[in-house]
Amino acid sequence: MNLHEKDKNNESNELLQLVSFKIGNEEFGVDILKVQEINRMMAITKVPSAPSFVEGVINLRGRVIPVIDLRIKMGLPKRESSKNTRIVVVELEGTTVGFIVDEVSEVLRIPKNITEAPPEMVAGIDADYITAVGKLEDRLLILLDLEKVLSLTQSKQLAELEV
Amino acid sequence: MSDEFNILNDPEMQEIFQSFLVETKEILEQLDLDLVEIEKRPDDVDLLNQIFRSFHTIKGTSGFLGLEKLQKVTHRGEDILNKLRKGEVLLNDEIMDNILKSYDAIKDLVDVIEEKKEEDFDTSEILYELDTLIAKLENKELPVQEVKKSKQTKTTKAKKTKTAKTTKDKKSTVEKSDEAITESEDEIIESVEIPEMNEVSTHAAMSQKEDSNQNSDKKDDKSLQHGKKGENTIRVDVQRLDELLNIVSELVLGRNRLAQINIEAGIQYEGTKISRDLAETTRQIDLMTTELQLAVMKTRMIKIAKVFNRFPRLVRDLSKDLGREVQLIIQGEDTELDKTLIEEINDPLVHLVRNSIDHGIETPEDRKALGKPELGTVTLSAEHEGNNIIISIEDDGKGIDTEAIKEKAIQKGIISADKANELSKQDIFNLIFAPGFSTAKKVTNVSGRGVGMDVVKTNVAKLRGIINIESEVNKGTKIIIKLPLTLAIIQGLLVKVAGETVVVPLNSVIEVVRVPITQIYSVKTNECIKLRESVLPLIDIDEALYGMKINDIQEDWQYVVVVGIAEKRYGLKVNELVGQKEVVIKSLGSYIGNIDGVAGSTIMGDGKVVMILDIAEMVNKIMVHA
Repeated sequence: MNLHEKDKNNESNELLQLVSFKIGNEEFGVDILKVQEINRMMAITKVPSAPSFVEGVINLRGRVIPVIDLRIKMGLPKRESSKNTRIVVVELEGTTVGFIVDEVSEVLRIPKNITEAPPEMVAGIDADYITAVGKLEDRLLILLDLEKVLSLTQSKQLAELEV
Repeated sequence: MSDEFNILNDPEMQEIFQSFLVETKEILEQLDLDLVEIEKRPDDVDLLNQIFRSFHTIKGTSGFLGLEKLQKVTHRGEDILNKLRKGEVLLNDEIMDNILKSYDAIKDLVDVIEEKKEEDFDTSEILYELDTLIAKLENKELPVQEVKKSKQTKTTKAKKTKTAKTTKDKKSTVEKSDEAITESEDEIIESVEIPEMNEVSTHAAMSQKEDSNQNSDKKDDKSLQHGKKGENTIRVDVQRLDELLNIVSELVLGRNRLAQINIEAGIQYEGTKISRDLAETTRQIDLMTTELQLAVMKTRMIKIAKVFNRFPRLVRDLSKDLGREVQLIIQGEDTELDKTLIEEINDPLVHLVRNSIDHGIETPEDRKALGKPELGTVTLSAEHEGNNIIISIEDDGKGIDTEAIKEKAIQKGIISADKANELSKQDIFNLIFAPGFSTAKKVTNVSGRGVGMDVVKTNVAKLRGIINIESEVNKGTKIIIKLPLTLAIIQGLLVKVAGETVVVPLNSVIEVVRVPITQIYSVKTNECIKLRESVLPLIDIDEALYGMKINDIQEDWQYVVVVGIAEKRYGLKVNELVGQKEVVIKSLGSYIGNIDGVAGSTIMGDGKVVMILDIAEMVNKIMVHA
């Protein structure tokens, strides 16, 4: 992050409102405005021939929406759902999608100036998804760009790889 | 010219332009039928008048919109028709051909206008042809014309003096060039038509008019009736109907959910007032939803006449081109089906009817030799059967020669000679659907390229339809297409495969059989069973869709759902039959997109999402992999 940007951040003293959740040992944050709701794990219907990170579809009050397993999308091994497993429903570019996360921790407000551009490699995640890393007092928070996670071109590439 | 195009592009004119298109197309549709009809009954004055009015209306509106070319072509057509209806000339083949040509040109022109909003269409040729004909008629029939004209004056004199003027006009123009003649003719028609129109709009003046107009022909009464019709219909944008259907689909899902809750509540609170009330309300909602659904679906229904009505002309032209004598019988044209289906079914039917005439009906000489009536018959019919519509095309031609097909298929490398001998009659018939297959000796512009039946198959499969062929040599061929009534809400058969419940669209299902495991044979790597003399390939849904073969459950019996895709039959292996349910197809959304073999998903009464299979795609996928 260059000096100029830092100045700007200080001036506006901008606060980021984030929903934070855990996948494996890492903690992630996404823009709260993108999050529509957070649900407990529910019955997921498998979709034939879908890429493996697409866990299936769920019935969200009469709407059929796809659910993506963030673990698999990030290259982590699949895990059985526990009582903490949640489906974070987000609305991105007009489509509603659910993301399976290991657990949802809290809603955070952090000043933008404590975030930094991501290092080259973090937790084995393709750095494209990561917009910034937030330095909290006792831990680090990885800020995710879910649109990138979802980006169709990428998912298509992946789908092709898996076929 | 550019000014005129501006009119069409003017936003304020859009509504008028659109209604012009709709109206003109409606007129053209009717005209298509009428024209074929008039050829059979050339002395039907009412019909001639009706055709004349159709041309006249199009001419009028196109003039208003500044569509010069359209106006000119319709004008010429009108001129010819005017001579016919006044009895100045008699309908012959030449005139008929020209009228049909002008009709074709008008139709093409309207299509071009709709697409490009300008008259980007060359009408010089058709205008020349029509002008030549008109000139010919004028010269030949001049004396007759004089007599007729005075008669015309007599009948209209009582009304207005205007006619006198037009008569004069006409007399003076006789010596002028053809172009000028047609111009003045127009005026006459205009002035004669005006009182007619007045009559339609002013009912009060009607009786008066009739008194003064007693010896005028029946045409005025006719137009009166015609004008009164169609007042209790409104035009609705299809999109609005789609929205409505969408909402109803949601309601159907809600109803299913409610029914499920009712069952659960009934068990938990059995005998209480609240559970009885709930049960009653559920029943009521159920009934009303079903009725609402039917009503909404009905609004989307269009009579198949819309498609069928194009055929008399097609049959006429084809039989003329090919030197056959064919009569077309249309049955059940009032049968209604969903708009989307109407649009898709046209092409397959065109191909099938063409085939019937080209491959089916023999030449008159051949027919005579066979002791058949020289006039061949093609019957196009439609009827309802439960939630399906059955469309059949039947001819009394030479039928399908199974030997010829076998030979051709072997020659084209579609099947091997050994295999050909094992095929059942039905299997051989189905070979005609193979791409590239054609028994026509030479390629004509009618058939022989071998794509037609492939189109039929593809379109019908897309609509989740089934095709059946019945044929007997020298007796004729009957092709039966079975289609679902609608595409959005379907009847589904719920089956269980490897832990997942999936829906098989019921209209693809032919029957469900239970076969002992021992009767499943393996041919190469494929499993199949023998069902009433024919071999039925089996499909493992687990393997096809989920890419895994779970076959650890070894039972003695295997349920097989026999499904039909266009002309083919397959057996789906299922573990359990759950039941039949009305389901609403929901797309999987843009993110997941289209998945081969899955038509969409639906939500069950218990809130669970289940996949709806697209049998045609699923089979395709397997065939590609195999």
